[in-house]
Amino acid sequence: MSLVPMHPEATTDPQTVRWVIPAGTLPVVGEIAEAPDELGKLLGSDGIASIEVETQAVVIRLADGHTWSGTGARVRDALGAALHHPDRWRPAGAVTEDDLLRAALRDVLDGPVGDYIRSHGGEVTIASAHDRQAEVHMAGACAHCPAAGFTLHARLESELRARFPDLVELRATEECGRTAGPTWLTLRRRSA
Amino acid sequence: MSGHCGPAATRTVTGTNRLALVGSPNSGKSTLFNALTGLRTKTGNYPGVTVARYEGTARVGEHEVVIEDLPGTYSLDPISPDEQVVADVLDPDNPELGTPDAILVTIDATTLRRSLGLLAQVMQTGLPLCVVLTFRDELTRRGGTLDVAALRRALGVPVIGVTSGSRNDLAQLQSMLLDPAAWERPVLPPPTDPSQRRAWVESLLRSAAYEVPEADHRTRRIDAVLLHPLWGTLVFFATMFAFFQIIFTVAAPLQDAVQSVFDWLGTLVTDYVSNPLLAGFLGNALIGGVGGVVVFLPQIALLFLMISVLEGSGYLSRAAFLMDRIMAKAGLEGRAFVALLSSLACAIPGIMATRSLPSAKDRFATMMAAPLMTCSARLTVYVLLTGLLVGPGTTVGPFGAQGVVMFALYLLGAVSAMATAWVFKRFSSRSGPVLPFYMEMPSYRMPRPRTVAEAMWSACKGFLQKVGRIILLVTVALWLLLSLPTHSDAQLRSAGVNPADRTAVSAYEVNHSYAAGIGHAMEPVFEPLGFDWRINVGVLGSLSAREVFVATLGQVAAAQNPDQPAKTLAHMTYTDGPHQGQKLFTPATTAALLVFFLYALQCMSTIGVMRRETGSWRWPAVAFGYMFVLAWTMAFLTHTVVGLLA
Amino acid sequence: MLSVQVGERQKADASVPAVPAPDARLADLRPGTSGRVTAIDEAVEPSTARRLFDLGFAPGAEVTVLRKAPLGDPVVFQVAEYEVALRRVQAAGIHVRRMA
Repeated sequence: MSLVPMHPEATTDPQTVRWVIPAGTLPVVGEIAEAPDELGKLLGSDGIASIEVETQAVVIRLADGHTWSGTGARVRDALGAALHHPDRWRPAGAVTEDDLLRAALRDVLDGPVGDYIRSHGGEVTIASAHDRQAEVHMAGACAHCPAAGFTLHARLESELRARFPDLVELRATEECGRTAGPTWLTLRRRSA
Repeated sequence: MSGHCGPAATRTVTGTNRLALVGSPNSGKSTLFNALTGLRTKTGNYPGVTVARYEGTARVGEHEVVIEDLPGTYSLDPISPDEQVVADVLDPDNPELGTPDAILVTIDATTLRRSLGLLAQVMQTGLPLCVVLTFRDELTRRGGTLDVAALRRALGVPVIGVTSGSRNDLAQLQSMLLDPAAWERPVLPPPTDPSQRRAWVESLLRSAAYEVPEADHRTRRIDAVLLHPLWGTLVFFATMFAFFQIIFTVAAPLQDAVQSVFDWLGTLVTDYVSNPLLAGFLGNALIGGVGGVVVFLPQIALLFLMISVLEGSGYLSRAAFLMDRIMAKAGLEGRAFVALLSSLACAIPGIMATRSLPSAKDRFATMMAAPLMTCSARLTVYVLLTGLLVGPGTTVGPFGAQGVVMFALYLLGAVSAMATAWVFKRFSSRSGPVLPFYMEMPSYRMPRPRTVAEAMWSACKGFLQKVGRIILLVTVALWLLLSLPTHSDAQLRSAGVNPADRTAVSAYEVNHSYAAGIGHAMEPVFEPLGFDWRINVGVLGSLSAREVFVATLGQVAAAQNPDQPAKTLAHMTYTDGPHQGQKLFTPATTAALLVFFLYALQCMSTIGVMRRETGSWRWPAVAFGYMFVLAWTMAFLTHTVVGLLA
Repeated sequence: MLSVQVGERQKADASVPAVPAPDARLADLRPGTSGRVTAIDEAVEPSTARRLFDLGFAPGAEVTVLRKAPLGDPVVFQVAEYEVALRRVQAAGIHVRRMA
């Protein structure tokens, strides 16, 4: 049995580690209430304070008094085993397909594409995410950015589809005030 | 002696960071080492093992950082002595070798998947480490991608990409070297379990958007020719042929130029130095002895030029690949071919090249065989003796007889080397595990002029140092032995020599010198080979370096007839004993002498480097012993057979 | 038993064309064909097996036979995105599943 590819990345909080996993490994997002086997035990006991699932990561915060250098290997083994039983992960609240879509979109916008837009003075926000359709608002310096339009939209959509394969469409609307028209049309034509 | 491990081990400067450089072979590790340390390097030896230790100092502003270039390895699970050293140095529980303060790991961006396995093992040590990513330009050229920032985030350690030749990249790395304690540490060391490790590597490659580089089409296209059953074989032989052509024909005019400089110096001495003793010292010992050896500098420079170009381009790996099957007949592998090929220049780089052999058995067998390959020092002796054996006009079929003899000597050396390797491999008492044969085939790359220049420079420097120290010293000592004691006119007259006849006096003095005494003392050993005391002195002197033989005979001849030393040699006769008055350099004796030099380990530097590489006197002693016995026996057979034929 | 099998395969290989079975030894593959590593043979020394693993011949890895030396041995393989030469003896210790 081959294991699910995963590796840990540090966060600003020394107790919290982001375990990066392939998108689509787990059918849930958000706070986890129950996890399979050993990982569940660690969560139930005083080892793990919280587990939160993102589209491409499992964010685990250790309880106070525990360190990653101490219990890290045990958590890794437990997580590796638990990823083989995606159906036995129970979220704290109800998770709908819309939640998964929204999380996937959040993940895209937090990633390299979002970084790229922000680095060019642009801003992109989630307008809506439901029924396998999503919409984002783009604002700021987009109009002046030569990469805006077709390529940017195509990239956003393909990144999102990689995380949420059932995506029907991604619409991007631009609110750049004075020169919204042509770019908006370009995006619109592509997504329609 | 057990605690002795060279100058490298004595350094413990507090406050100076010590960094170890780790990486797989061909990962650009040595290039990085040279770029960081320049030529401020020194070589020592790891205690008790056959592995040379390289250390250098990198200057960063006001500060210095000591960098140790560890042997290339694919894994920290060692299967060879070199890899054992890497594992030992990186083991914090093994304080004997001094754990480094931090580690630089060179990773070839085009072989990231494989390299992450080694990196994972190095990360297990818990020492601060920084990844130096090499060959990114090649990755780009081949159409691959890698997000370095994402890789850094995923690994949790600093990752610095260096493009060779880029000062910016290097400066960035240098600024890191000062404070390894501040380097980012991974939140958790990578898993040790193989399948978990695989999942970890896979996840890193995904996160870093590592696109498998397309097959290197350029390398594939070149290999389609260079490794082709027919064309590849032809190119191989053409390369080897060109190799020798360059050594012997291109070098010739350069050697003539060096020779003419020394000739000019010689005329200066004759013209301006009146004191016969001083003139003899300057003319014979210094200019004749040293000059006769320095003539080979162009050849050595060209040899190293070609070997480092072949290596830098990636062709040496192909040559090793093509020759593997043939080397297997001697129980060796393809890489041993490279060591033997280098030994044609000089046994020293040849012995050093055995480091690339993962198997200790192969290493010793190759090391024992390497000194039999015809090195450039033997060439001096061969040229002199072949000239005495056959005249320049003599032909064998369409070929010049001198060339044929020379070719036969090279061939005999190579065949003997292979046979020796086979014997040593066969009867090697060291029974280690049978090692697998594996060899990475690097992409073809343009050799870097700087690397080539450095290789040539250090070879020439080493050669001139050898000349300046050992050869000069021995030449001067031999001159003294040949010139002393001096004889008064009364002594000369009583011996029936006219003190006014300079030639007669020189001949008398040489024949009654201390050297003559030593030469006569050696006669019982060498008489069966037809050697007289003068040859014996030459053989003794050539223990330091083979070239000294040429210098000694030159001195003897010059002393006996200063006006025509070359002609004197050819017409030299036995001065005493049963053959008195007969020609000394008969075909039988000359051939025996050639064969003797073919087999005998007449080279202190080789013995020294063997001692350094094996860490004991045992192997140099074995090599010297077996080669002397072989040399004597073969020379005796030659003397007998040629004597019967003539 | 296993080593005998390896020897027989090597001998048979030259004259009899290999039957296209899904499971094979890496040494049986012809240049231009690929296989996926399934296991390292148990008869292979542990240190050698470990080194083959470190070189990239790990279960699951895709290996392509690139070319043989003019004298038939060794053979260049592409594995884990780089090229490495192995002798047939080593290649015979690697179990592969043939790929189309």
